[in-house]
Order: sequence, then C-alpha cells, then structure tokens
Amino acid sequence: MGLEGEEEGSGEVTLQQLPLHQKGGLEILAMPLIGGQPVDSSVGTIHPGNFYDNGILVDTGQKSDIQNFHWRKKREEKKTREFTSQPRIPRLPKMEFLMFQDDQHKSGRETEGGLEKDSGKGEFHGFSMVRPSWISKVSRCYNGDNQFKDTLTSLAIQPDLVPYYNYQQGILTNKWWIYVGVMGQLRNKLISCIHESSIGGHSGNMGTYQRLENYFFYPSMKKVVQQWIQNCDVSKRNKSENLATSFFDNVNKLHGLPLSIVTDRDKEGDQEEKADSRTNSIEMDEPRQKRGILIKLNFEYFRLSLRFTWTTAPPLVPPSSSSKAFWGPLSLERSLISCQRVKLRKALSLMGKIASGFGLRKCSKREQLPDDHISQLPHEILVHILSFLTLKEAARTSVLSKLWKNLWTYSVRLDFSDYSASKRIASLKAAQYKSLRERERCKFVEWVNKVLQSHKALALDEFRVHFDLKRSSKEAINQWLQFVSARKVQRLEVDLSGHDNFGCPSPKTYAFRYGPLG
Amino acid sequence: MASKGNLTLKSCNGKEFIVEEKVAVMSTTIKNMVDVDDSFAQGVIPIIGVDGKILAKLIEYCKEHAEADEDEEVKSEEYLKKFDEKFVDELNLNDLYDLLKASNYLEITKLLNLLCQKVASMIKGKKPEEIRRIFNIKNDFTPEEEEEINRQNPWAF
Repeated sequence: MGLEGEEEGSGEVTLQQLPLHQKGGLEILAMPLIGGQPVDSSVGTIHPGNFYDNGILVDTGQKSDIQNFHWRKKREEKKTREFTSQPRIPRLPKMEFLMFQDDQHKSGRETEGGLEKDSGKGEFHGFSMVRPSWISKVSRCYNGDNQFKDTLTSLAIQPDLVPYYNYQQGILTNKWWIYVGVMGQLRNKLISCIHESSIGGHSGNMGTYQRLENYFFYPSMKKVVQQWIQNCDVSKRNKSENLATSFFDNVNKLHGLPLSIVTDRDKEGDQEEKADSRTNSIEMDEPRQKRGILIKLNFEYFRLSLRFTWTTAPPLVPPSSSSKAFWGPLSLERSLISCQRVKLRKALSLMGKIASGFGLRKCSKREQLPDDHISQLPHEILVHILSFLTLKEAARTSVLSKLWKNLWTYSVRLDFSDYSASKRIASLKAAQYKSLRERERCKFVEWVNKVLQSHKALALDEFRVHFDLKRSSKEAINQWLQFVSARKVQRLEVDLSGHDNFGCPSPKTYAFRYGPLG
Repeated sequence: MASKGNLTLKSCNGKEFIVEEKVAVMSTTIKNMVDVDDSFAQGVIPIIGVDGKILAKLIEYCKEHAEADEDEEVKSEEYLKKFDEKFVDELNLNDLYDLLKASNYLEITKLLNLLCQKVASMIKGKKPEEIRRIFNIKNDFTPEEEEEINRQNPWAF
C-alpha cells in the first residue's frame, strides 16, 4: 500500500500517512524507539524518511484551518509538546511532530481514513502505510505460541472473553501493549535492549520492568526480567552492596569509621578520574599522611573518589579484631552529610545497616568460613560444569545449597542412557520376566518425564535415551521428541533396543545429527 | 608498541603482554575485536577483570595450543594432553575460578571445557558433604528442606 503522498504547495514535502482511523498506529510505530534507541538495528528501521522528510503527521481531530497548513516551526513545537505530553506516546527522536487539525472532523462528518476525503483543498490525497520490519519480527514470534493461539481463537469466537485484545497487522495487542510470543529470542532481546543499552544503564528490577511494561506484555514477564537481571554480571558488580562491602572491608575494619566522607562527584569529579582499569577495585593513596585516605572506586557505569578523614590519626586495627568498638558510638549521619550521589547514599545507608549490628554478626560469621568462591562464578559456567557430569551426579548437586538447587535443570545435555536397571533388564530372559520388565519401563518413562518437566534450559545440545522401550510408551516418546525439538536439540540419540551397544550402533539405533533448526 | 602480527594485551592491574596474533585470537572475544576494528590490532587491548597472573596463565595455554594447531608434528596430540593435565593440576582453587571466569569472558572454548571438566571431575562420585568441603559451599538448607529435595529426585541419590 505505497501510495505516494502528493506534493503540493511546498514542494519539498513527501507525505506519507498512517491510517488515521487507528490512532494506535502511531503508538505502535513509536514503540521500538525505547528511550531514543531502536530495539534492534534491524527491527527499528523507522527512519524519519519513512514518513516525510522530517516529521510525522498526526491527526488530532481538532478544529483548525486546514487550508493554511504550513510547516511552521514555532507552532509545531508548541503542539508537539502538547502531543507528546500525552501518555504512552514517546517522542521519536529527530522527528518533528506536526499537528494537523481538521475542522471537518469536528463537524461530525464521517471520514474513514482521515485525510482521504473530499476536502477539495488538495493538500493530501493519498497515504501509504508503513510496515516496519520489526512488525514481521513480532508476528514471527507467535509461531507455536499457545497463548497466542488461544487468544486468537477466542477473539474470533467469543470476543467478550478477551476484552481489549486486538489483532491487527499480525500483531496482538491488549489496549496498547504488544504481546510478545515465545518463539525466537525476541523476549530476551527486548530485555537486553532495555537493560543493557546505554540508556537502560543496567537499572534494577523495577526500572527495567517498568520500561518494558510500557510497551509489551507476556506471562510472568516480571519474573523473567528479575532472572535476567540476577544473571547480569555487570549489574551484580555495580550493586551498592558491593560498594558497601568493599568500604567495610577495606576502610572500616582497618581504620574505624571516618568522621567525614567527601566525594568528588559533583564538580570536576569525572576529569580527575582517569582510571583505566574498570574493575571494582579500591586503591589507597597516601595513607594517613594527610589524615585522610583517598579511595578510588571504579565501576562500569560510575566512578568516584572518596576522601575519608579522621580528626586524629586513624587507629590501626588489625582487620579481624573486634571492629564493633569502632562502630558503636559513632553516628553515621555525620558522614552522610557530604555525600551527594544517590547511589553513594544508598551504599552508605547500607553501611549503616551493617553497622547497626545486623551486618556485623553476618560479617564475623563469614570470617570463620572461607569464602564460597565457586558459588560466585557466573551461573553459565556452573551449568557448563554440570553438563560434564552424568544426569544423576548433576541432580545430586541440588542439595549443596540454595543456589545449586535448580542449577542442574539448566544443563544443555540430557543423557538418559545411564540407567542402573537397563543392564539388568537387558540380561533378563524373555517371557518369565515380562512383568518386571514392564515395571522397569514404566519407571524409566516416569523418570524421563519428571526430569523433562522440571527442565528449564531453553536450548539443548544433546539428548540421549538408551532403553528397552516398546510400543506402549509411544506417546511418551513422542512427547520427548517434541520437547527436544522445541529446544532445538543439536544431537539426538534414541536407542530403544535395550542392548548395550555403545560404539557399535545396531540397525535399530536412530541417531541423527543436524545443525540447529531455524 | 607491538610490531606487526603481535598484539599487546593489558591486564587490569596494568601488566602488559606482547603476544603473537595467532595466540591471542584463540580467544573469540579478542578475535572479534581485532576483526571488527583494526585499531585494536595496533594499540593495547585492555583485558578487563583479568589480572596479570591469570593472564600469563591464559597466554601460556593459548600459546601451546596455537602452536599445536599450526604444527602437529612438533606438538602432538599426546603432548597436548599431557600439557593440559599438568596445566590444570598445578592450579589452586582460586586460580581455577579466576581462569574459568576469564576463559568464559574471553571465549576460549577449549580452555573453558578443560577447566569445567576439571571441576566436574572434582564433583564426580562424591557425597554432597565432601563436595561442600572441597569447594567451601555453605549449606543454607534446613534439614527439612534437604529432605524435601531428596524426596523430589529420589532417583539421583
């Protein structure tokens, strides 16, 4: 539908126009530009040129004179503000919103499609619809999404059941929120865009969620966001708790609580800081010479130097001795006065909490036990480690601690070939053990089902089943295969013969390898 | 400044290492950096979050493997296997963790697999208490919770 707008009056204007009867059109178009950044370079291909040279035309249906419709900067700007002050319509960067007002709307004439009408004034005759590539991306992610299917069915049969839902141009919306399907990585991509882009700035759970929630929805979105952020390495490092802990470990335990803390954040702070290593490190300069300690903190997203001063030379206390004495009488309030940054304040209030005894106990406890470094490794590495273990051994790690409880369910390898009963069964002689065999088969199927049920990995590298199964478990096997193909398994081995034939596949073995689907 | 074909890697505590390009590009991350932008190849590549000691170990590993890839006769598979074994055996736990993190970040898949295998072999065939003791994992379950997990996956225990 690419009708070129007719150019009349000012010759440099190419007009393209959204279907005006659906105001939602603009909102949808505005959406991928979250915080001024396209969701994905290939998704957000809305260039100003898609509309006209430098703006979008919006019909507000208000009274005005269409005839004297010119591109007047001042007027536009004022109205743009009005327009963008409406909720849910983020302003597109580098684009001007042109308000166009139409008296004929006001007079109540039905004008389907807004501008295309007998206005006779000849400014606008046609419009074309823009269909950015991200729309097809969104509609592609509906493939195989059950909720989408259900909603669509109800929408067709009983629209009352699903109020506010709308299906247009291959996109399912609820009011103005776009539904994001399970297929592909779109859900993850969105979160990563919002969370990790320079504008997202690794904001916390709520910040990220709220930004996402402005435009999109899908079941248990909040949880997914939370998990994402939990696994985000950068966020973890930037947590104010870390700042507090490092402060606590490096300053307080050694020198007691300073009387004042001065930060350089406010005026020329950033110029002073030219640290090149961007890790979370604390360096101490000129210790105690000026009765102060300069501490430089480098985080991925913010850096700051702090100067701690003590009225007298700071007491030197060996780290592990009871630091309680230095905490007790001093009030943290005093040192908070000079801190300006919210983040810093947050960190310090946390230090306050630590100081108020709650944390002290925790700290002394930690000193008794050496640090649990392995649990601090990124989860992806831990999962990778588990994938080198057999399923049984991996599952056994679930009792180690809370962190490990569910780790094994993310393993990318599922190997059901190591089953204690399989050898026993294979050696059994035909008919007389039939019942026992049948029982073991049931147990095996149950086992696999249970593991698959609790499995959480989104992709699988390997899936192996070696067991003597017969037609009776046909359905279960089909389900397994569905499960693994949905997770794009790369290596699938199903051997239902029940013989121990590692290395020399019998004709009954079905092992096929193929690259990732899709 | 590195001469042509060499890259300079800088650890987070400021130590610089000059390595051959073929060694450095064992790391997919560095390879991508160099491929995308030539300026990296000339200047110094900062390796964030990896200190000099660990970086030296990484380079030692990459060097052996890069040379083996190039010339199979001098460094045979057997030699490499022995080297790998020795390499992981000499590591203490903390170095192991640091190397794991670094190889994950730098995407040195071979090394990552080797190290993961090593940790897996430390877990293999051990009772939960033993594993906790080896890795200093603190058991934060109540006995009831532990019982519950055992009940959930009886096949594993």
